[in-house]
Amino acid sequence: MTDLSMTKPPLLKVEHLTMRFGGLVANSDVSFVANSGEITAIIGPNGAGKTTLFNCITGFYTPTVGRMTLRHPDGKEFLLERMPGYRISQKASVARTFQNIRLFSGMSVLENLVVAQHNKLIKASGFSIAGLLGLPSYTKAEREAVDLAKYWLDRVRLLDFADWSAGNLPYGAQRRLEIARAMCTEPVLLCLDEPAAGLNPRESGELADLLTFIRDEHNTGVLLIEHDMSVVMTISDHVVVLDYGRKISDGDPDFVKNDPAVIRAYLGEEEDEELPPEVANDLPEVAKRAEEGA
Amino acid sequence: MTAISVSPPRSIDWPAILKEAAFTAFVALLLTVPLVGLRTVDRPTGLGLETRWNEVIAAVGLVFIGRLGLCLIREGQAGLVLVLAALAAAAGFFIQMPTEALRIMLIAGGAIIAIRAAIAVRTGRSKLTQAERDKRMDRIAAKVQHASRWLGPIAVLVALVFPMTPLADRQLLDIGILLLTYIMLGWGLNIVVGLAGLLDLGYVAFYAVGAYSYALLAHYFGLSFWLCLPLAGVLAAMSGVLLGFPVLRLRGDYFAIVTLGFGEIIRIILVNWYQFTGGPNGISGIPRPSFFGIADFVRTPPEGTLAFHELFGLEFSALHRIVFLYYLILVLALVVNVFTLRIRKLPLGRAWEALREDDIACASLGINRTNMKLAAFAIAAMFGGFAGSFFATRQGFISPESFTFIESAIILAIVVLGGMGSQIGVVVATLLVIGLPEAFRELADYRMLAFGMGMVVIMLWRPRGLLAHRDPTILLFGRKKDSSGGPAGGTAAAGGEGIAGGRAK
Repeated sequence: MTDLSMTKPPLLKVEHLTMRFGGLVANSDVSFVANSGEITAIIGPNGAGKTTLFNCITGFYTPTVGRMTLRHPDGKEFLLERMPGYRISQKASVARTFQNIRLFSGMSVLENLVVAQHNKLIKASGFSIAGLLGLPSYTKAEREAVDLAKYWLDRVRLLDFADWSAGNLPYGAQRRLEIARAMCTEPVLLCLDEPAAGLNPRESGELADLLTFIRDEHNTGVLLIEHDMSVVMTISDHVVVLDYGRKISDGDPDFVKNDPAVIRAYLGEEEDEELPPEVANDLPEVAKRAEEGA
Repeated sequence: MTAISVSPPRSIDWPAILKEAAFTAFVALLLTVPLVGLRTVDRPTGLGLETRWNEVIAAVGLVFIGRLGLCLIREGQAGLVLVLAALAAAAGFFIQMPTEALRIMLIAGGAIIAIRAAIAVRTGRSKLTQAERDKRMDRIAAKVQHASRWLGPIAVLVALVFPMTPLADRQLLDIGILLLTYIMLGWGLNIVVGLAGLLDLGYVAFYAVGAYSYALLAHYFGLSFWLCLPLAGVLAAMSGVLLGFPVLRLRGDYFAIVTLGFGEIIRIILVNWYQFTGGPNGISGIPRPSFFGIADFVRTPPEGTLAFHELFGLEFSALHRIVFLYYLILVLALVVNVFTLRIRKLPLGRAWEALREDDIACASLGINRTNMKLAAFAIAAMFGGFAGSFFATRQGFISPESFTFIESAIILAIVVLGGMGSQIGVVVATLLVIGLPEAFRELADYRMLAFGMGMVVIMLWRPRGLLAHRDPTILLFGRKKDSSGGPAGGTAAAGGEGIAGGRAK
């Protein structure tokens, strides 16, 4: 791990990220790196602060403390915590999906994918002026956008449904469409928030194939929040484990699987764990009172 | 509702029906006594109360009979009710009644119940659930929308030819201008409400800005209409941006309230800035438009200029100017329409619709929400400004009275009743909302009653608007002949199911 990051600067470097909501600390001093062409999984029990971490990276929250550096393959660097939300996708090319699917459900599948290429297209349409005049430069840009959309629709096996309204698709298809939509923004980092939630085992398998494809063929860094361990452990190159907002483990899947800290977080403490002294001292007293009461 | 189609005719439970009808009549009594029965009148001695018990009795009686009719329809006696209601309406129409109110209520009430019964007779036979009926209605909306491809140009052609027919007298042309003004405003507001999904309750403010821009520029600087028209648009767009900056971060209801406030602020400024705007007295003597700055519509032009009729060698007619105004507003309205139809297929329009669907997902795709919303606001405001300066030049007199909240409400009603985002829906709704009250001007006070009833009926029958149906702006496979209810129809049908489900509860 270490010598690899020495030779190749990481795609995303999160340092000392802390996010507080009033008194609640959702993330506390989280640091990790994610590399291009790798799938980095973020796992942890419910309420561990995974989605908050995502919201910080994708600009929905501004972290209280910490730095997030995104480095494009061409060497451009972005400090994500200083950018307003929409710019993170527009300039830094970070795309995301949502835990509860957020498609434009009244619009058609193809429209969803074309809207995703908004920034490219609005420039080509001369901020609508060239588009209103029907200049060929825009027509060409739109054709290219449709071609890209077609490519991804084919990838996620939704090509036949291109003209359907997105809200009418079955659940699994909606999940795939959301990933396709995120990929249509041509991101360097794709953040997926529980993409396998609600999928059956066959669909999960397909999802794993799709994510490996995105990693290998498009050299995109994938950041993945997932509860489905069969998916996480088979496709991840690197796993980060959070619990109560802190990072408790970080490494390749085999290392994390056997890390005692992770096992404790997921399965709880061992039986013979010692009680804190003040509780232990009070126990006979409490038992006596209970007896008297009965 | 589903009871109509499910239950076969059975013995009628008269006591229960009578009880229900009596209860409804009692509620009607409680409502009509203060609303209809008492009326304040301005007397020389001060404010006085006038009672109108006849109307109250008529209303309560009508509600009682109407409820009875509805219950009978539910019990499967729709045919009988249909005949009786139709008879009542006919009786009201042909036989002299003691009071006018009774007669109108008889006609209106009888007609509504007859329509309801007729619907029950029809749908009672076809055993459809509410969801299926909604789907069918949506297919009809889709058909109308597809038909608008050829229906649209025909309508435009009819509108173009209309002033040349002998039918076109002063009154009809005036109604035509009024309708076209509201159609233009409806199309303008449709950009904000229908496409971008921002509930703007103060659209009339931009209308006012446009009207006062022209009136004041003409009054103080003597600028001509043709120079002021674009200026009014620019000023209205600027006021839209000005309002937009602080409020666009708000969402939903909060946003609506602020726009409502903005509408009122503009009106109150106009009322109170007496030295500049003339306050409640308004501005009179606003110059009429010339024929593109070439000729005026006057009988005897000043020295050295030509009048319109001289230019074309026609006999002078006061109608020329009206016809010109008619064509002017027709062109303005069509500009808005063409703009909206085109912008929907451009990234800006798609981004608006995406914002309406899911604003957070838009941010995650790198769409600058503020700029998109500001653009929608400014463009809609600009069209409102155009309409406003047209209004000022047509009336020749404006005052803050013309820009009250009720105007915003009517324009919004047109957009919502027509089906949000539907261009043809705006036209149909304008014909209903503005055209019907104009057509029934003789009914005086009762035309607002008819207006209200129309709104309630539409909202019961088509809760998402008359022609709520959305076609994708881009198709991969083109339009298939056989799948009118397939991909395209699916959009609204899904929503329709949701509503039907909600109503069944």
